[in-house]
Amino acid sequence: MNLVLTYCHKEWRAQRGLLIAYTVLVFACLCIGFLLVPEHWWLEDGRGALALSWFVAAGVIGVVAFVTPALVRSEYAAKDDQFVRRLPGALLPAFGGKVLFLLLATAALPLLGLLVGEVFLDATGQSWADMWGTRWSMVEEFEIFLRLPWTVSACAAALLLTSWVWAVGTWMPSGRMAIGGAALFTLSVGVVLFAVRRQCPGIEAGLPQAPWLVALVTSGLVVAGASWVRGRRGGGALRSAGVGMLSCGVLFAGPGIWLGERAHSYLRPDLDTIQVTSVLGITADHRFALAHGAASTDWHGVPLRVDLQTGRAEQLGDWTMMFSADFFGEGDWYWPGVGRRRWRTAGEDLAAQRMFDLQTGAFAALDYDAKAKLPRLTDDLRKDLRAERAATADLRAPGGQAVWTEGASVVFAETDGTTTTMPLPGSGANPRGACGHGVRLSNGRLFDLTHRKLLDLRGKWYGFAVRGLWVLRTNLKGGAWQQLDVATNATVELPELAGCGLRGLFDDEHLLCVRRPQDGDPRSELLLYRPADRSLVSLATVPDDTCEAVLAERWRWGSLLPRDPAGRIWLHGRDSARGCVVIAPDRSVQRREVPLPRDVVNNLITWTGTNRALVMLGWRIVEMDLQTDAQTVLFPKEKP
Amino acid sequence: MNTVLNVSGLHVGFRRKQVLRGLDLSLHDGAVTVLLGQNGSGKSTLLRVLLGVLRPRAGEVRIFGKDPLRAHREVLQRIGYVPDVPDCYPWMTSQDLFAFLRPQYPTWNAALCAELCERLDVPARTKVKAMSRGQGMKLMLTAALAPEPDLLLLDEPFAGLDPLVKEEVLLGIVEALKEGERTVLCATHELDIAARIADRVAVLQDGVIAQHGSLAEVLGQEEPVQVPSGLHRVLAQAAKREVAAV
Repeated sequence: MNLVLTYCHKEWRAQRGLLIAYTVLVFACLCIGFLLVPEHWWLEDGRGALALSWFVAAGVIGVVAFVTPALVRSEYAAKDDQFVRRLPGALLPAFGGKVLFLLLATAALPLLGLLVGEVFLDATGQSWADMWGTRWSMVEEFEIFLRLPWTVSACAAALLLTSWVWAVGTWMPSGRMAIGGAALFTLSVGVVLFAVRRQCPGIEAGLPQAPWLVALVTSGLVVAGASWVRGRRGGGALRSAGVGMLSCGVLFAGPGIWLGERAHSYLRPDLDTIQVTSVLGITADHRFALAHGAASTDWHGVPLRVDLQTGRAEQLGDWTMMFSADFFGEGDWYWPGVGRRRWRTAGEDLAAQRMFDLQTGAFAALDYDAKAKLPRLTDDLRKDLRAERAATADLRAPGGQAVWTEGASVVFAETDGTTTTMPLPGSGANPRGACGHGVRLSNGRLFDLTHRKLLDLRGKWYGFAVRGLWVLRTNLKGGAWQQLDVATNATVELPELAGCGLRGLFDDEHLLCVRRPQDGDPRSELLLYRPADRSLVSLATVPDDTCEAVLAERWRWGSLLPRDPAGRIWLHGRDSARGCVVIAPDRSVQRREVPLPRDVVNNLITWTGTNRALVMLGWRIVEMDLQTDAQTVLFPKEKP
Repeated sequence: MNTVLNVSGLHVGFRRKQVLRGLDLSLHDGAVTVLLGQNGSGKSTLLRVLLGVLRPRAGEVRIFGKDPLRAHREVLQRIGYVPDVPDCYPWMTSQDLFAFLRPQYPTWNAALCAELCERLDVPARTKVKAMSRGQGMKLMLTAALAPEPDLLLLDEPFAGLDPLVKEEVLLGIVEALKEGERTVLCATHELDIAARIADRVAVLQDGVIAQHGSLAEVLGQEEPVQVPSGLHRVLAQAAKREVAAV
């Protein structure tokens, strides 16, 4: 320990002249500089803290740019660094002394900067209290937080690399160009990491940062120690570089292997223990699902074709592979994921398009017009796609007439077996959702399926259509209802619907409404409203607010309210734990105390039978019995 | 008689240049050996290998029976070294240097150090970078002798010194030799120095020890030796003997 202190003291003696000159000069310059800035610079919020941070940064620069490279350079005298190398067993104590000196300097110089900065700001009547900010959080708690300037992050990053500046400095001839060498070394390592991250974006998610940062600093010290103590024994900078590189290889081998394994797991996850992150669609027989899965839920998922019957999956491509439903031109937005078997897919090269058949698992090449950004469909393919849409679409005109979209057009299935295609007028007019016997377009306008015309309304309106009669209001969450007759363009007020919320089209004639009997009354009344005669029928009153939302399969945006295979409509409140309400086909209403499982409410994939549903439960696809709560895990069968 | 230093088959090179090519050398306890050789012959290189500063490509080095690279501390604590130019930190004064070296040598003799400083007139508060060449050499000699080393290595200690200073340094060495049983290896190209202090002379030529013996043997003369005017005559003589031996 005596020798370590001796060398630490030697280090201070060797560097004190330069450090004193640097600190005096740079702090003086900073003080003069900040004295000269205009008054209005100080008036902006956060400037005091920024100015203070520059004083601290000056201290950090002193550590990184002066102290650290000098740890190596100060050994060089008339005959290179022979002196310390020929002293008995001096390299290890010298290293210890240098580590001690570096630690002391790392603490002292930034703190000195902080002290000088604070004194300067106080002396000039400025404040750095703007470093602290206050706010109210989401949970209505008062929080005080730090508003640290960007220089703080830069300082932290520089300090983390200090030990590597030292290590690389021992590899450089005469200890010069340590910072440049370290930057080059860091860049080399960074290129590798960047390449990995480019292939696996977000791979670092879920990693604890603190241990890695500690490892970064300590590994630099280890390499510096090996380079100096072992490398300088009988050799110079070249030998130090060799020993240092070898140490890096040994140190990086473990993390490198781990990273490689992690990257492999990212790109080729184990399909037996994969975590399902999303389900895009499912075949009509409920056997095959198109899903995304990853080894970690923090990562991009790779596409999978899952056989729900056997519980096995096959990976279809890497995470860049996209699946979409738009075959019919730009703006084609069609998404019923149940019963769809054909998907358009492409990777990063959009010109290489393919069609994927979920039922068979086969890919077929798809001709793509890059200029028009459209796939070129053959007649047979177009016919098949149209038939699929006709079978799976949930849009309905009155009388149960099937309607679907193709690109920016609406297609009606006529009773004589023909179809009528109507392009939606206006630019950007792509269907985005159903609202009863109507469609909401991407430009906010409404299209009536009964009269097959665009509503001439200004501004945004919300509501539903029933056989050409639109029940609308301008405010999504409240306000008075109006009824618009598309045929006559006449509008009437609907005071009978005051306080009502509309849930959707109950059948071809009625809208399902919910309202509170009185203000402050916790109960909810279920009503059916018939726009044709403006009649309002009460179905039931439930004791709480368990009628706020409708349970629906994912991707459903049909004209009518979604029903289970038994024809029932399920309603639940914001807090699904309080039970639910079920409306039977005969309009009887049952209040069920047993709550719907949260995963059913949020992640219902499809109904597989009366009281049975496929659900995304966490990261698994599960079949759930809503009566018994029994669960059957379909995929993946093993836990990660 | 113990062997203090034993070098066998030493090969040292820098990049493509081979400096020492299978050098063999042995020093016995208490012997003063002068290593003669031209500039660039490898004298300093050999000394640096003995100090553990250079790593040989091949060969074995044993000092006090140990490898100076593997048992660096144990070996170097018993060695005093005087370089051809002061290699310590230029910002140090002599007091700084002695305070720095004292903890590193268990056998450091502060009284001897003070005595040598007085005898050699080493300035106390002058920084090394401000010292003259002679002052610097005296400082290095003092620092080398203060730990009372068992082996003293001198690398061209008289190069560039004026005659007066050279004499002072030489006297300092001679006094030190008188005061203790000390093995000395002195690298120089000055024959008169060899004549005054050497028990044995080793001639370094073409990367090997071409001749090793008393000065008279090396010069091929009877005692008392008449020292020739130039080293080249010695080297030529050594080369002749080598050819004759072959």
